[in-house]
Amino acid sequence: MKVTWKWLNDFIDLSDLNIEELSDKLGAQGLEVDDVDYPAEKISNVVIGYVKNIEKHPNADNLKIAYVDIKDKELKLVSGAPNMKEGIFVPVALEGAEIYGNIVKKVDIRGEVSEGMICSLEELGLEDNSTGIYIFDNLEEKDIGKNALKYLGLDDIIIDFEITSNRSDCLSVLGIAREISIATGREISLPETSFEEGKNKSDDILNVNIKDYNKCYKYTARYMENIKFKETPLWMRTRLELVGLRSINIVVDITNYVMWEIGLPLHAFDGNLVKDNSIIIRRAYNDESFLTLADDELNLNENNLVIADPEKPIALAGIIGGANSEINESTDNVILEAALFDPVNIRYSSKEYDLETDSSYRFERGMDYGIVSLASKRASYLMNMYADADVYAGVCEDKSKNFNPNRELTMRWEKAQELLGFEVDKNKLKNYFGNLDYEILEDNSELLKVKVPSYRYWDVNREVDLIEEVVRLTGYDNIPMTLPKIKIKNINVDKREHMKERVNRILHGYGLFEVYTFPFVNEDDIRILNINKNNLYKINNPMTKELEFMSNEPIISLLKITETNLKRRNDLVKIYEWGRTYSKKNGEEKLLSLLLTGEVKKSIYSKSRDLDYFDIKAILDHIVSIFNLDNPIWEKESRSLWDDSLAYSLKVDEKVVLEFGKINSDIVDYYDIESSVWGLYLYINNILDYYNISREYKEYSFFPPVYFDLAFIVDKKVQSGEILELIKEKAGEDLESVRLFDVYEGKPLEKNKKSLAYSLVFRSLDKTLSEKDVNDRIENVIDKVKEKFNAKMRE
Amino acid sequence: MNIEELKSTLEKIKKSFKNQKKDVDDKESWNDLRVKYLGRKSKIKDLFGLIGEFDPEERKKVGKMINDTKDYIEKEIALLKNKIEEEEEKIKYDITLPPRKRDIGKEHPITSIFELSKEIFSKMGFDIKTGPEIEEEWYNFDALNIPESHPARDEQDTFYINEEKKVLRTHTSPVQIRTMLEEKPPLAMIAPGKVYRSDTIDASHSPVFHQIEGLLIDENVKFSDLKGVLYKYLSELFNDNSIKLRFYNNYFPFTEPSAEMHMNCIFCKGEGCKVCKNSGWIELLGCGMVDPNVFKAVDIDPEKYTGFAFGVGVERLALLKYNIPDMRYFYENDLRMLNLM
Repeated sequence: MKVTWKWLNDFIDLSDLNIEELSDKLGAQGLEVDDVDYPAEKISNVVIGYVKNIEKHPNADNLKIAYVDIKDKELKLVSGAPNMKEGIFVPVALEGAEIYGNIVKKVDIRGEVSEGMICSLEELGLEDNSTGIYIFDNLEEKDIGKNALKYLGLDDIIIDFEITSNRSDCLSVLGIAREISIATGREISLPETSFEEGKNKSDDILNVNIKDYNKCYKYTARYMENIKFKETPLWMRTRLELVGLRSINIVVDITNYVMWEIGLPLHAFDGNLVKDNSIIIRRAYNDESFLTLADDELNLNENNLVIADPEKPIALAGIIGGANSEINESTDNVILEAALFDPVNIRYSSKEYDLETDSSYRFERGMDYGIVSLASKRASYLMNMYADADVYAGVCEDKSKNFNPNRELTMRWEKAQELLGFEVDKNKLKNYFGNLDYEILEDNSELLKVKVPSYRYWDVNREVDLIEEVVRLTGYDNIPMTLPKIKIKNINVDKREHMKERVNRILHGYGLFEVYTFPFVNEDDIRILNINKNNLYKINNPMTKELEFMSNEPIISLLKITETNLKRRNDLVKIYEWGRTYSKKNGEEKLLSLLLTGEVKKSIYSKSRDLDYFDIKAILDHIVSIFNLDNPIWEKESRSLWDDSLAYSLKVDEKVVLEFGKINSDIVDYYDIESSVWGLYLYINNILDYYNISREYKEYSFFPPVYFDLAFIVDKKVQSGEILELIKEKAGEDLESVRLFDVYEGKPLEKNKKSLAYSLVFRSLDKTLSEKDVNDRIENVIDKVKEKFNAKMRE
Repeated sequence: MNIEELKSTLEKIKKSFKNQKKDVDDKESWNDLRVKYLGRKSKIKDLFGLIGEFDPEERKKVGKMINDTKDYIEKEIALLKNKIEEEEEKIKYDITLPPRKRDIGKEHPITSIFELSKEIFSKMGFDIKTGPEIEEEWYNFDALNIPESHPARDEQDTFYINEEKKVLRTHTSPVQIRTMLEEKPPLAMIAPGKVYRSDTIDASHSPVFHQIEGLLIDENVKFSDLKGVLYKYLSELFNDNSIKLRFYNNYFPFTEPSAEMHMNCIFCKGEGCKVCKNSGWIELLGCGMVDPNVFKAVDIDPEKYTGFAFGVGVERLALLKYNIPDMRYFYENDLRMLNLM
């Protein structure tokens, strides 16, 4: 909500006030200043000039040369304006003048030098399309040479306030002036409204009839005739432009001006186009068609409220007028509406047709019952003054008996103190309330009963709202700081957090960094992944195509992060994220996603190498080791994300608890990644059941060990792990550990053979073992391995 | 030999010692030097034998002259030994070689803020709660006193999805509602989590960001308690007991009275700088006393219980605490940033 300093000053004396301090005070009251703008800073060196005489341009028929007095000297200026003539006062941009970033220079126009520029309102940012230069009214010789900004009304300050949706009372210059009055203690004065009304009464010529009193609380109409479409006065036009409104014609400008000034949206109908001067406020009929003045054809229904004459709707109530009764240059009679509508109805109709207007914006926030008459009078005064309107006396009105604008509220002092935590100074507060137009109805040691001012009707309707007024007025600084006594209820250790913490330690140990990504996929991701789109949550109002679907494959987001990092030559990418997958089938599921790719650089200790299967496998083994999984089953994983030759899922009790492996190289290619990418998902909800916070002691031996190394020559296709399992099975209970420590291929072995060497450690819990004690077990192991894998011992 | 001759002899010894010292580069040559100048057959030793030839009254002075030279050489020899040992050590071990280092990973700065916040609030007695991100409109709006009929509903820049009555939660506040429905007061909880708003990405906005919601409900919870708890939290989080807070009136449908809390700028200490746009203050969070309409929605008696609630943006805290210049960096996840900070 933009207002200007001078406009505010019409309502409250702002002399000696500083905008920063004022912003601070208003901010504390809940009226935040978003921006302060000084239009004069954008325009410099524009002065008042007087056109002394004009000559024809020797080389161009449509150009003129004007000799313009700017007090100390006379300038020669070339202009093509059709309204250029002798004896007028005009805004002149001098050589070097700056107008919205453009510098005015001395220019040669078809062989004649122009020493500056005579400006139009368009050039000064005060009009969309100017047909000529601006000509000042009522200036005198003494004004020549003076800074034109003051005369243009541009020596002002634009203040942009952020108005919260509850404070419809502040959507006007008057409302903001009221807040300044609270901040400064200065009185506000109401705008001028007195003028001579005609003898004829609006009530005699007009008819107003509200059909639905629940949707329209009050409707007043005023009749005026003999409208003259004069130019909107410059001061009004400038103010409208400064606060972001466009000047259209004097009638519309006045209704807009009054809306901005007082708050209430008004509407002016062309009196000749309203049949029988009869206004009916009713629900629309189903399928009733209505053409708005913005040229939208609406197909209305019975939930919409319309303003109608006996034949047709002439406005969608509180939102927008109809093309059929729009003010135009031939209008000479006007019916001026000032009314109050049900905010919810306005809101729904405005949403239904996607029509947000300055009017609907205000009405849906609730307008002040108390200013309907003021707004109507103010507009009539301005119409009389600037459009020569003959305004009929009084208004023709209808109003609801169901609507009671007088709201009485009671606040218990004790409740206020309880909620705020400090002793309220009752007398001071009563004064504040008084200044704010709260009428004090009752006042004793226990409670305060007030009548809420009509402009706060929609916002202040409960005891707690009055309590907010208490802090708003006395300041939050008066509230001390205390610490509550919090009753301890739950001290359960969070199993999920505990598990996450352990997994994090593992991941950090393996050098993985945590990332946060946007959990979205786009159409291209979906195509490359070959996902069923119907299973995804789609955002109906996405900001960009990138953010359209909720992701059910979080590794895609990790691939995007990887792509960025690789491009920036971070060549080794090891990352993880605790996120969620989102799918219509399974809803929202928490999981850990992890990705490894890239090159480990050469060092003095090791050669360079690409990350491979055994890097992801190490992390996997470590993570799995913290869970007690019952009968885990490994299966090949063939979802399109994965390379189905090297990806697996782990199931426990029919539920997938994790997946890991190589990411499909087509997908990896798509994200411009050249190296192999390894990924892992840990499905937290499914695996959490198998996590145990507690740890278990396992008995260990204090006797010395016996070591045995065994090397087998087997076919290359034999899997080392299978031999390992067989050794464990056959070596008996004293086998403490067994590990593969060497794999050898090549001479002197046959081409299709390899040697696998295992180191076995035996220890007994209750005696010292000798080699003899384990010899027959070793023999047993050798026999079984030879037999099952067709193995030979390596000498 | 007279004193003058002795003096010049000693000078000669010193000079030749200094010369030969330069050539010493290992233990062996060092030992040769030591034997030559301090050994039993050294010139110095010989000179000691000549003391008797001087006049008795000169002998003390002569002894001291010889001793001084000997002390000088001994000291130099000792220093030389250290130097040689150090050199030999360097040949044996280049201690500046890179160690057998592993790269250790780290958590993301957003997680750091979450963890610190959880720790601080846990110590004060708050539980940690979570809720869904794809949320029912009722929890995200209606129960929080943001009915469809009220314009406040439009101010959240909501992402709507292809499922009736569901949205991407615009704040962590629906977790309040879920908690109040699950448990009876007294209640103390915080809810950290991801939230979504259709905000264009720039240095201080993102369509995906994180919040921490806080809620305390009991008999006699007061606004002053809210101030106290927020002060404790932020002074711990920023490790600064001199922080100042100010509260400006604001409107949030789910609290009344409501306030926007500002903290004095930790960079310029309130003097005015780029971060605080010269105001000396930084907008940090929204808070207030739980609105009676919220209590009504979850069937808690607002006459018996009162409560406070707040919601703070985690990225904002992280930007300030870690002096990160741009919110986009959190989601770019450049590994250099993650590693170095």
